[in-house]
Amino acid sequence: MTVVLLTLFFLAVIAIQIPTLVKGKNTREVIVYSLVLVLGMIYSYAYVLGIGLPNPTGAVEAIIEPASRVIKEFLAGSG
Amino acid sequence: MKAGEHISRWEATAYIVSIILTTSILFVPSITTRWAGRDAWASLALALAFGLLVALVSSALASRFPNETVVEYAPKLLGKLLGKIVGFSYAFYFYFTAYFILRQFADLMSSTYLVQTPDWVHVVILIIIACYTLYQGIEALARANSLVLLPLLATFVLMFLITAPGMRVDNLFPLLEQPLGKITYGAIPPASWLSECAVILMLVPFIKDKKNINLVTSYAVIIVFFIMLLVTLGTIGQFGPGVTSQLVFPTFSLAMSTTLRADSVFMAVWVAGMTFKLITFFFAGTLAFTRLLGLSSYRTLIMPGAILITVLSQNSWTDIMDEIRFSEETYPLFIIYINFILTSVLLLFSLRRKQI
Repeated sequence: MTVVLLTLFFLAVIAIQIPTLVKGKNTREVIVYSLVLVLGMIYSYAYVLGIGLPNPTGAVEAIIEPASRVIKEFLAGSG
Repeated sequence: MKAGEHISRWEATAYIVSIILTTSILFVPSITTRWAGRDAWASLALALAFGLLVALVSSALASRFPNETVVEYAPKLLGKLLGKIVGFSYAFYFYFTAYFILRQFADLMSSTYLVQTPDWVHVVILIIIACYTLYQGIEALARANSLVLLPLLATFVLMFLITAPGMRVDNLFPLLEQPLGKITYGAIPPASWLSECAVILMLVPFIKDKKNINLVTSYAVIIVFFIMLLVTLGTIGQFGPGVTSQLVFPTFSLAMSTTLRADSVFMAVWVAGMTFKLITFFFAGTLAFTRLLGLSSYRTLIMPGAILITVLSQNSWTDIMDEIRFSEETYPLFIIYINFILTSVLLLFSLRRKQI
């Protein structure tokens, strides 16, 4: 049911926004818009279906946490 | 923001106060007290010094390019490729903060007030308001923010005064009981939140009077510091450092402890503040990506951007404890890296360029 509602929502967004963008004849805008929308759709379906995908938050954690651990041990001890 | 839209210096200061205060105030008393104990005030003093440093660095950089955003001048300073990477880092940071705000908003709402309402309802309502505002332009938002800020600040002062008779002064003594290392570690989260004043790098083109931009950011940092200090001293005085460090939403607990039920007033102004913060970072991120990708209008990215940050706000953290751990261990260093280190590098390159 959630997947159907999500699909209807995305169809509505595409039906409303894409024709306006195409009419503007700005190819770059159509491409960027479509790429970001597709990315949002992939993450939305994966979330609804319980599929884990690599996430920017995970990337931030992977980069920052080693530094965070070192600072924590240096300033506050392990506790 | 639409072309020709401008905000005054006071509106810019109020804007920065709102965006730092609304999320920092949620967690700072407990996170800081966990490490600094009753010496949390000392951590906040260190955070103030750092916040003022970031205010000066970011204002100095913004003043050198008063009509451009950081995403536009980064390639001029660092070269095209490196400049674009740095520009992308800022753009990502703004979007990242936007979806973190969405999640924090949903968590507080669903764990304290509207406990029967699913998380996603809070998120969707807030994101719809954000999209609508961005489509309309945000000059009116800056005006509304200036009006809401005074009740917001008054609520915190009032909350402190109302709870003052119940506070135990001995909860705050002895002074400087904790080692300097723990006090410094406790200073990192509030310092990182104060570093959000670097959003001036995106706002400066829209400020009418661009003289002494450093005063806009410095006043904002000082105002937020005083409110953080009031709330932290209030919660420690009321509950003691041990209990304060364990509270999930200490400021909210302080508001609930008053006989006048100040929590409802706190909630009313806090929701408005969160909305402003979300819109500001969503706007900054959308504008940054628009300039980075050479698009003609930021409006193109509003709807797909909103969908993306909505879903990322939901799938990034497993539960509220995961989010608090992230707020304590990862988020502060990440935003210090963007707001202070990257900004300082850009300032150094701009100084060097001037010398050449």
